[in-house]
Amino acid sequence: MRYARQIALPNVGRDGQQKLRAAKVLMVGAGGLGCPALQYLAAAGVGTLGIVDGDHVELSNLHRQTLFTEADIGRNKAEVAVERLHALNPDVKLVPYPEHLDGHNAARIAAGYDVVIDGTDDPMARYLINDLCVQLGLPFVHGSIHRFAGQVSVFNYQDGPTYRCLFPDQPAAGEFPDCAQAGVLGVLPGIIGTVQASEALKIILGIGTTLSGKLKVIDPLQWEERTIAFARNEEQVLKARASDLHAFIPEQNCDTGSTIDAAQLMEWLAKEQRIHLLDVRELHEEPAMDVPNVLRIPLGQLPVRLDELPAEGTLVVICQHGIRSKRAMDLINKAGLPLRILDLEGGMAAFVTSKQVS
Amino acid sequence: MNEPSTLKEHELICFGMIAEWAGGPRQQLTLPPGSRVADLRKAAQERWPQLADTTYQVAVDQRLATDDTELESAREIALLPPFAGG
Repeated sequence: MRYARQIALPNVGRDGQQKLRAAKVLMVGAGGLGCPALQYLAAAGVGTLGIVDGDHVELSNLHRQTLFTEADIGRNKAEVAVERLHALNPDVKLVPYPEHLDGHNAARIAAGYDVVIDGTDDPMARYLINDLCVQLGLPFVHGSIHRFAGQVSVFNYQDGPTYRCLFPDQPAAGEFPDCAQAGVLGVLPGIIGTVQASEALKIILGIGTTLSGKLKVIDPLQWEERTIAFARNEEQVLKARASDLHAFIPEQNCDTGSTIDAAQLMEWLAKEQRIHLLDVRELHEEPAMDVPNVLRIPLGQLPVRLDELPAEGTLVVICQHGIRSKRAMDLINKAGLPLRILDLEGGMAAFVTSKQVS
Repeated sequence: MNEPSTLKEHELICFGMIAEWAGGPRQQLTLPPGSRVADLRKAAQERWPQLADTTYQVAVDQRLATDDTELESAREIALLPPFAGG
């Protein structure tokens, strides 16, 4: 049977398998950390897995986000992950949340879960997840990576310390490079995400010693590894308790950059990636984008014509020099449409130049 | 050899971006006796000016330290920034 090798473990057994079946785990981020963590949790028979991710699969994700294939490019990660994990283990109840975790949806999404796993790529989101978990009384398993190195810890577990006890000061926006800027070796989030899954399973089963109160830092490139002990800081816990979740508007980081350059767009078009194009220039402005199905809505008319936009997917907004497209992007973002919106940097002018060069 | 004998050389281990700025994870930093973590932060920032705009924590012998933690008997001091990626 499916779980025989795991039930054979003396500290798991049938009771442990029952605990796993009853457990509800929320994975925030189905990226480099989330993919491996989810695969092992689903395989282990965790009863319910919630998956939060508003991003769409990109070609540059595939070297590390092992649940996805080239055919998934342009699709929402949470939804693709649910399909793959269902095929792996249909016993698991899988709940996709195809949205970014923010101060408005966090409490609604996390309600009813037992453990939260942080696989986000946004320093701000970590404080949101921390404060949310402190307020709801949930343990959370943290993981983050930088190039060849990773950090893992367990926070808010059995009155242990929280993320704020370790890092009280929120970094400034953009202080740390994300994966898109820094680069990352694909296997590294695999290592860290798998350790996160292991910690979550230990918490559910109540076995072993977790990383509560300890930050594991590993650098497999040099094989430097340290386990840093830290204590609960009541002042920081109070801060988390009193925090106004609605104030959190996480940055969009790794692979959610909101601009696309001309070369990248040309590559996407050449590969016939599933993207939508919106040209917000006046109808007389030249040159026209010579690809089929470009939606043309001049910026001035956009506020009253938002209903003509596609219902989902990736929308690239184009204008002449990349200025109006930014305003259009703001407008669409504010309308809260479930689209991933990118603006073409430098507009058609850059696109034409880039095309001539290539 | 010209350094006053009262100075103490400390072993640092740097992680993440700090290791990159420093040119590798293992570094040494010389501090006067009686120095605390706050003094170390100042000296480290003089050596690696990028630290001025960086959020990081200091651990002494694998235990999170505060600014007034003494370094006299420290065997190893870790500089730990949070990591951003996922």
